Amino acid sequence: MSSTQPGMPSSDAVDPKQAAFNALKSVLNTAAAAMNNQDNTQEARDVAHALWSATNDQLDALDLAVFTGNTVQLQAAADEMTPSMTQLKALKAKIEALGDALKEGAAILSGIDKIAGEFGALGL
Amino acid sequence: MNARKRIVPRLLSFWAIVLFGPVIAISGCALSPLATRTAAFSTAATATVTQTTNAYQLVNQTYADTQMATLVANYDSTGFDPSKIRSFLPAKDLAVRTKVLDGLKQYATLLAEVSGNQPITDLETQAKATGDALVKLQQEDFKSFKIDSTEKDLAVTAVAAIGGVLIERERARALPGILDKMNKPIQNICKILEDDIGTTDTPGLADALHRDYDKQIDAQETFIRTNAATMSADQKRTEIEKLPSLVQAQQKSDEALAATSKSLAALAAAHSALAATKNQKDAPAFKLELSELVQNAQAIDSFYNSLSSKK
Repeated sequence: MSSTQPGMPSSDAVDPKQAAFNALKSVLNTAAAAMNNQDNTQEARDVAHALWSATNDQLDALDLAVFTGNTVQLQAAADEMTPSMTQLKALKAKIEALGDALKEGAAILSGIDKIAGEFGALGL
Repeated sequence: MNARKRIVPRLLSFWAIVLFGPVIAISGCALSPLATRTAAFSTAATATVTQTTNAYQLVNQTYADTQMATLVANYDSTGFDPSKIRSFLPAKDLAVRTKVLDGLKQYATLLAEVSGNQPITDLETQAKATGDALVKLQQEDFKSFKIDSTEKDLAVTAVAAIGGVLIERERARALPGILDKMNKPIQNICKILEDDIGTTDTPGLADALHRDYDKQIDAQETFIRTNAATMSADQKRTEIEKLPSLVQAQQKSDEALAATSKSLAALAAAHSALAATKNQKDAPAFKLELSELVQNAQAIDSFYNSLSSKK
């Protein structure tokens, strides 16, 4: 098995997708060489081109399979973020509340002169 | 009279804070090293998320360009089949990536917000207003509480320092634990996104993108061969000149995806280093990882920007 964590994409050398990929790439390169070889007849080059196109389609499917195959694992990894994100949002709210409370305290003091004036006007 | 008696002790409490404030200011005003590193990480992480989003767009756009080139080259023989026109990356899978990348960006933004100095700056502004009010005290009964500008500055510093200490205490209590818990999902997400991309020698989007350009080159050659007899010399020149341009675009795209993959690896490493160095004053390991992350981000920014400007 690979050294990656359970449920994670494997980096193992015998990964079946990699083996299939290597085989298809080999066919693709052979087909590309044959279709570009000017010494081959046009018919042979056309056959090679058809093989090249079909192999490209197979490789597209394989590349896409890696992408779509990762989706479930990615969703699971993203779900794991949720509790910590909630904690982080709570910390942000706490810091903001603390800042607001201190600002409010300072604001009350800044109005002291006005308040005292109003008390004075009321004869208190 | 009773009201005045209630106000006076409140003012005295304020002055008690002001007197002790400067002592606290020495230790409390600056951001902690962890908060500074967290803010730096946040900026770099946001850049990596943007690049990864751009990479998916590049793959889909190049696939669409390839479909167009193939259609034009083969139209006379195959005609147009609308059912063959589709996005390479399925919308539902792409939507999950978008959601995950948005989540990473939100995490980076929240980290910057909780690490930033904005609450202290706001508090300082309010404390300055308070200080100004005390300087300008008019009521006779409170003249003894009037302060001069120097005292006002000291008071402002003290209030900001107290706020800084309290806020930093909240951060120091919660942030390291959050970074620790977040590390595993961040490592997993970066690894999966790297795996999405792969290399030109492994299955994944980098290979698909590279071969899309091969297909565009093939389609362009087919187009030239099929229509050469009816083209003017200038038209032929224009079409032939597109071939080396496609090769150059292929090279640049290969580099961009490789750099994006490297950025994701660097992002994971930088987050690990951030979590690991949470209790350290200096963190050379984190600085090294962050520097690599920033370098990678800069290297591919210009390429993705050039693509956006072409649209």
